[in-house]
Amino acid sequence: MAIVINLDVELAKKKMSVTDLAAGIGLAVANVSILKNGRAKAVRFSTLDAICAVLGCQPGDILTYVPDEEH
Amino acid sequence: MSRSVLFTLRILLALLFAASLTAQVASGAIAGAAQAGPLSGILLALVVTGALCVEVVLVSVWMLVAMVQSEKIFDDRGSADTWVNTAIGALLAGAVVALGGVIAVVIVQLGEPDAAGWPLALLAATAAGVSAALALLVVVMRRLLHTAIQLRSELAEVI
Repeated sequence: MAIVINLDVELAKKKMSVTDLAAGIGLAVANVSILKNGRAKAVRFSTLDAICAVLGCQPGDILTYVPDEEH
Repeated sequence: MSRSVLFTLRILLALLFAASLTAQVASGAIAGAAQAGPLSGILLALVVTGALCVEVVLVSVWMLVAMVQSEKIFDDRGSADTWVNTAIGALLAGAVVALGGVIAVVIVQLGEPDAAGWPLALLAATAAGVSAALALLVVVMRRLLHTAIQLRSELAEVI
């Protein structure tokens, strides 16, 4: 995956648990876990919007582009 | 889906099923009264097997309506597929039976012509055409169902 989600880093910075974030953005804890573990295939802008509002960060703080290593 | 529509549909399906059963039970009397000789036998066979196909289709539709009501119609485990395929099979079988009826009537007519023979052949041919057209329509709708299921499961992965 070229796009990496750094949600765990942001959560650690804000000292917030997955449960708190899920409650804050109105999502199921399971879905937030999927997002945090990088197993999500797609994210809604509305979800991204809510995460940024709750964590007080920019989308760029959560999403990172990592080029695939070419062998 | 509104409850009243589904409820009315179910009542209609039950009524049609009852009518179909009645036709099967009374088929002997109907065929005997309408015709004599070999045509009577053909009419009897057509009514009994045709009604059986109609009943299978009605049961399939009933099950699919139940799935719509419990919102399981788009589940990607393919349980809806079973009933859709059953309906397609029954409709195709109905078309084949009706076509067989047309051929049988034509053979009888060529042997010993009867005034009521050709209308009966026309009726069976119409039934065959309608049944085949419905089967193909359901095939198209099955394709649409598959597309809807695929879209639904893709959207479920969006967080």
